[in-house]
Amino acid sequence: MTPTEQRLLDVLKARSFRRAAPGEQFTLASGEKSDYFIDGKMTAVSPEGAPLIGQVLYDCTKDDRLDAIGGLQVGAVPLVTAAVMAYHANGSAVEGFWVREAVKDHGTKKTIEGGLKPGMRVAIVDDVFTKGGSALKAAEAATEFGCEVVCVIALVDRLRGARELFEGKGITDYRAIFNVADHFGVHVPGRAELAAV
Amino acid sequence: MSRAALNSLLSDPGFAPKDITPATIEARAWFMATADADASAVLGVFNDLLARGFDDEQGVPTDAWERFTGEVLPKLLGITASPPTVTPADLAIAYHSSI
Repeated sequence: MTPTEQRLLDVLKARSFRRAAPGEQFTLASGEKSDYFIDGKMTAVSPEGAPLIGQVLYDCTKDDRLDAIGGLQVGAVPLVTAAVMAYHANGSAVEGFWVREAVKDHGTKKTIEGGLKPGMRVAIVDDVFTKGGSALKAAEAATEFGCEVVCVIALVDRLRGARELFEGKGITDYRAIFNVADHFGVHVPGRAELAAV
Repeated sequence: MSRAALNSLLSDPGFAPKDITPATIEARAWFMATADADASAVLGVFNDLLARGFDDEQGVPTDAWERFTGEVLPKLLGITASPPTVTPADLAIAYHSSI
């Protein structure tokens, strides 16, 4: 782990990660229950977290010859902004974009906002992946737009099937900067058993 | 049509937080097609659920979700039924008490 990643992990733990109090529980988007909560936005829009995320995303993708970085609104928006700023600060350039979950019914009626163009090589990012559904929507929208999805990047992977989802869709370059088991000490049922097979 | 589609979505035994956004889209389509109190009340509930972060992929406190599914969802099913068995006032009271 690089010093930048370590510092970002520290900020995530301090600002975004919370275990449930006794008797408390969270219901995930899928309906599954969880005894911890990760609010990535609390880090992504923080003074220290935002540039750290940008630098980590830059370091993670700088050799991929990307044209653009994007993701699904709202979670991916601050990450995308941080990444394009980091690229600029490092003397390079990528376009940022985000995909609307629902097409707006006024103005341009665009599904994709930003400087995306067909044929671009893109990375899809999001802050926290559970099953990967949000990032998959963004990846499918970018593909439908005529772009090549080079990789999908999770800031934190909850290890609930996102990697398998993308592999099943033919997106084999899935990268998680952190995961809840190795970096946040969360017990993920079945993970040890799977690793032992 | 959107009323029936919304009722179908809400009737799914697996209705989960991920379905709040699609349900809001259906509620809005219903309201745009039919300017009545039922559609307005339902759209108001879903817009407020979004404002409260019920669509957050990272989760909703389970006690809040269970209050919604226990107290509000049955009313939503009733008001989207054909013919409706729940009034907008019943829905408003149930939603208010769930918050």
